[in-house]
Amino acid sequence: MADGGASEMLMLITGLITAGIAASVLIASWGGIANSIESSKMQVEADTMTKASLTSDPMDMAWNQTACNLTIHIQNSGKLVLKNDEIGVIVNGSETSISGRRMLTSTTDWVQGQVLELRICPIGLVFNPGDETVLTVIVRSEEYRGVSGTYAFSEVIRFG
Amino acid sequence: MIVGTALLGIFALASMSLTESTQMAASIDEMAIQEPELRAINATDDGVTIHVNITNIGDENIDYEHMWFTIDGGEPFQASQHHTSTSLLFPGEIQHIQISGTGLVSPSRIFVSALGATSAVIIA
Repeated sequence: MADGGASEMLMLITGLITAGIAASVLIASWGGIANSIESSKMQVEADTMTKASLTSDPMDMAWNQTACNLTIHIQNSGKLVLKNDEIGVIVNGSETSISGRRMLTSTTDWVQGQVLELRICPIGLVFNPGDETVLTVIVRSEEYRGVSGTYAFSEVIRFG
Repeated sequence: MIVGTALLGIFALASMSLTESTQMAASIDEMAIQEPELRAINATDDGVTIHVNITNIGDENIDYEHMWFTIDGGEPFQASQHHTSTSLLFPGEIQHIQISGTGLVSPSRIFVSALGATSAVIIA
């Protein structure tokens, strides 16, 4: 009887310890999942509020083959401030180098509604007036609740 | 008892997560950017001034500070530089804007854009 009681007590204690460890592991893993969901939520929010669009007339883009200069104008059409020094531009699937940038108004921050002028060189490409190609622009916002939003758009343009 | 309590806790947290996910979806939907819609109706040039009629065909008000014109592929300029009597173009409203001082001789096309909405017309 005494042996049986000791054995049951041992099993009970073992069971309690095992259950406690299992509960700790589950709660810890839940915390990780919750953090992951929160982080994803912040990213989706930032991406949702980040947007840009082409202000230049896509039918008549200013292009100088000799100087390798394509001038484009991009408007911040989102809700977050955009970083004007973190922009990617792809022309006809090729990378470009940015030779100049300026805001068209006296503002320094690229806030909603403001337009940034970019002078870019599509490396190694030759275009003639009337040629059409695809322009892709990728922008990044300032940090919003710890994360930056990104946005990309593509548009067919014609060289003037 | 401990296992039961832990499972109850997990289920409670899962329920909270579901509720939070629903709220998150709703809040993100509210944050979504509504793109305006506008149309350039017609434009004429009398040799000194370009007259352009525009209208808001969407549901969102359009701020003239956010509206930019481009003539013949040139540098964009804000509509608010040439229209100061009002600040917003309301849905359904038609506005006549006079653009002078461009220095352009016989301009042929005017393009207007605002937060992703675009339109263009020939200048007669």
